[in-house]
Parts: sequence; structure tokens; C-alpha cells
Amino acid sequence: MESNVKNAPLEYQTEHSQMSILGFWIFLAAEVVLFSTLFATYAVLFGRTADAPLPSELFEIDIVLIMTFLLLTSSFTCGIAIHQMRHGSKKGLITWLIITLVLGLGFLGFEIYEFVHYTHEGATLPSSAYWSSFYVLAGTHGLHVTLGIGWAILLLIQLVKKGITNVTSRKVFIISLYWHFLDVIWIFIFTSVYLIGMVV
Amino acid sequence: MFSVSTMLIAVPTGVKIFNWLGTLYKSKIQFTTPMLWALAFIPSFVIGGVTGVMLGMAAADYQFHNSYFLIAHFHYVLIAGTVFACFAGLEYWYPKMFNHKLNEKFGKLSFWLFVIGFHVTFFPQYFLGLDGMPRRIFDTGPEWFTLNFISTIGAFGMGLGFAIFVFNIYYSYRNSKRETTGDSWDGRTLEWATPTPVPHYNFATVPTISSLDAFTEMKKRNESTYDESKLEPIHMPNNTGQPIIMMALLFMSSFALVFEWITLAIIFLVGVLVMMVVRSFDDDDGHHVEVDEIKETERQLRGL
Amino acid sequence: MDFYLYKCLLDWDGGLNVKPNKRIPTQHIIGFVLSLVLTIIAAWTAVGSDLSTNWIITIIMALAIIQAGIQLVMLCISLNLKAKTVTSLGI
Repeated sequence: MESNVKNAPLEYQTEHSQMSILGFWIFLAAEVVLFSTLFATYAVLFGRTADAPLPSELFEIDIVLIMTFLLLTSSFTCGIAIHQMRHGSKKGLITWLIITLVLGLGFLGFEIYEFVHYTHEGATLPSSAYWSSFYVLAGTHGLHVTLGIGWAILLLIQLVKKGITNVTSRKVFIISLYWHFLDVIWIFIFTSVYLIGMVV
Repeated sequence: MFSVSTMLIAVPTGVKIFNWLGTLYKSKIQFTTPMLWALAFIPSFVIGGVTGVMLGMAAADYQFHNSYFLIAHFHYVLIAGTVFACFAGLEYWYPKMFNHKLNEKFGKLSFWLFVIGFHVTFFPQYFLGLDGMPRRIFDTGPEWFTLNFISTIGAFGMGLGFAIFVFNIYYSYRNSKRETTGDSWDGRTLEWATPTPVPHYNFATVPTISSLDAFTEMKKRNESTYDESKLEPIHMPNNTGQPIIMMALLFMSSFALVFEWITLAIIFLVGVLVMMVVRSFDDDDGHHVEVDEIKETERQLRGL
Repeated sequence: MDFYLYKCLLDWDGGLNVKPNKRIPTQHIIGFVLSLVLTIIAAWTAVGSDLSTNWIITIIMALAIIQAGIQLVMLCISLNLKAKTVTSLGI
């Protein structure tokens, strides 16, 4: 079985790796379900702000745009990292992965600033049904980004130690799938939470 | 809304009932204990399903809502759908797992006690619901006494049935004949093609499937899934405690979260993260079971 | 499913055997720029335009779906997956 795929990229070379990658696609499908329920909760509770401030009073387009650009760019640099890996450049891969990480950290910094700011303005997790659903949805995404950053750091250590092998290339490939997925989720948070929250 | 979702479940389930009946139709049914459980599932589940459709009618549901009718309905669905299936599966695959069957006599006794007890327990509860008894009360009125009393008798019947089932495990461990072939029920599916106890690598050679009920066909042609000429080393993971430690930590953090013991939950979650790091850096690639070892194991188990 | 996956892998023309070519694929850059442009259009539609609320929601949701589509295409390009591989994973 393994001899069939000699032309395939490194991360597809062993049956183990192929199954890991397929398994990760299934994991992402489960993540889609998780975020769907959170989006549905948000949609149902939209407008139920009780005495707390309205989202249109708090959301600011510039911060949200910066966050979106940071994440979109990090998704792009993550793609370049994979491109470098395909060409066997360990240095290129590590460099672009670190750039991706820094962009992700920037995103996270803005999100934390944003949450702290809203909390000061009186919009906290328990202050209304709307804000609960907002913090859970955006917070779950932020938590995913945080975990992704921690995960990528572990992979960077392994890359430095072992170089690009069957195992490390598979791991980097899988985290790139994860990172692109988080980007897509953010696009929908950007549109359906922030933009619509500012309009309605 | 809930009417629509009820129908979305009910209609395909109705089709499934006919699938099961169609599978049984004109077959040679052997009334062994696992089959009895499977057969008892169908009418019990139909009762639960039909009353489910009644609950799905919005107008009528104003009456049924949160009454014992609902309780009876979901117990009929859940117990017939999952508990009966658990019993059936456990009795059926028991010889594959533990190398001996459960005693049929005790198995049937526990089956009849449990199933009759089940109907005696939950059938009266439909009428309690129609009589207006709400769910989640600790003190019932005298007009509901008789049916509740019958229900209690049935519950003791189920308890006795289960006690006999547990005793049967002990009794069969002491007295049942040990398996020799690995094909305890003259099965049609491939799990019965492995010898019992199943070697830790499962199939020595991966079977090639050429028809429905592949194992039946193989037996007709006097073949087996084992082909000594095609043996190859089998890749297996090494034994490790990592998954169970990780799951134990996750369990404890979930448990702590249920009671909102946040500090404790965080400590355990950090433990989970540490385990993830350990796993990430674990480059244990497993080992191969060599051909000689497979040959020896299979020859011994298959009596070749 | 495995069959499709293997077929795609056998058909693979990129990957290890290509010469070291570190240039970033053009489609990749186009996808990135497009995603930025779509984001700006969506943001402008929401805060800068005079359209009615219903129109705004319709337009920005459509843009988000297009955006997600572009991200998926970008994913395929950057990961050098062919569409066939992705669909075969879903089977």
C-alpha cells in the first residue's frame, strides 16, 4: 500500500499519516457542528441585551477590521509555510510558521483588549443573554486560536529538532488545516456578529 | 416546530420497522437469547414510537405535555431501543469476548422477567399520564395509587431479571463449555472468522470480500480468512498508559466543572494539556508482530 | 473512499519530485488579495452604505459565503490538493 504513493507529498507517504489526515477532516466536521450550535444560539439570543449596552454601541469597525486582516494574512502565511515545506526548505517553513504565529498572537491581543474594553463598558458574560452568547461564540474561537498557537510552538520545537520528516510534515499539514478552518469560522463571526451587530 | 422534528424522526423509523420485519420474513429464526432480545425490541419500540407520534400532534400535546404519558413514551423508546440492544449484543458477542457462552436457561429466564417486568412497569404509566398525573412529583394522589402500585411490581420484576443476568455471568464463568472454533453461532459476519480468544492483532491476513455475507460463502467453500502464504508482519502500536491517564484527567475536570469547582477543574485541565504535550513529543512508532509469531499463534488457536 | 484518495495520490504531479522553486504561486496571492478586498467591501456595505438593513444583511452574508469559498480554493492551492482529493475525503 505504501509503495503506491511514492509521488505524493511527504505527509501522505505512510498509511498512518493518511489516516491521521482523514481523521483530522472528520474532527473538523465535528468542529463545524460545535460552531453551528454556537452560531444558532447567538442568532436566537440576538437583541436580548436586557439592561446591558447594545452591540451597536460597543462594536468598532477599525479594531474588527484589523483583527480580520491579521487572521486572513496569517492564513495566507500558513499556506506559504506549507509551500516551503513542499519544497523541502526547513528554514523557510520555520520562518513562515513563526510569522503565522506572530500574526495569530496579534489577533489574540486585540481580542483580549476588546473583551476587556467591553467588560469595562458593562457588557459582561452574565450581564445579558445576548452578551453570554457573544462571549461564548467569540471566546470559543479565541480559545481555539490560543490552543493552535500552543500547538504550533510544540511543532516548531519538533521541526528544529528533527527537521522535515514523514511525521513532522504530517503534523504541520494538519495544523495548517486547523488554522485555515479557524480563519473561515472568523469570517462568519466577522460578518454575522460584528457587521450585523453594527447595522441592526 | 417540534411536530415537524417529531415527524422527521418518526417517519424514517417507521420505514426501519419494515426493514427489520423484512429481514426476518421467511428466515430460519433461532430463538436464542440474543435473538429474543432483538425480537422483543420491535413490538416494544413500536409502542414507544406510536405514542411518540401522538406526542408530536401539537393539539393533543397540550394534554400529554409533562405528564406520565411522556415518561412512559420515552422509557419505551430508550429501554427497548438501547437496553434491549445492549443485552442482545452482550449475549451475542459474549463468547467472542470471554471464550464461553452465557447459559441459555438463565439467559431466557432473565429475558422473560425483564421484558414482562418492563411492560408491567411502563404500560400503566401511559394511563397514569392520561389520568393527569404530572411528572416529577414526590407525592401522588390516591386515585393514581393502583396503577403506580402495578408499576412498582413491574420494576421489581425488571430488577430480578437483571439480578439473574448478573448471576448468569458468574454461573457461566464456572460451568459453560469453552469455545473451540471461534464461530459460536454459525455466524455470517467476519468477526466469527477469527479464532477465540481473538489474537491481539485481530486478523492474521486481511480477508478479501467478494460477496454479501462473506464468511458464509467462505464456509460453504470450506475456506477460512487465514492464508498462511500471505502472512506479513503486522504493525501494532506499543502499549501505553497515555490515553487512560488523559481520559481520567478529562473525566475529573468534567466532574469538577459539574459542581463548579473551578480551581480543581483548571488543575485537571492543565494536566490534560501536559498529557497532550507528552503525546505530541512521543515518537513511539509501535512494533511489528513477526510472521513466525503469527504463524505459531494461529496454528495453536486453529488447531492446524 | 480510499480508492479515490489513492487515485488522487497516484495522479499527483506536484510534491517531492519538483525542482526547488520557492516562488509563491500566483493564484495563492490572488486569493489572498481577493479575500482582503471582499472583507473591505463587506465592511463598507455595513457601515458606509445607505442601503436598507435587509439588503445589507443579504449582501454581507453572500460575501461571507463567497469568502469562505475562496478560502477553500486557497486551501486547495496552498496545500496542493486537487478538488478531487477534497471531495473524495467527503465520501
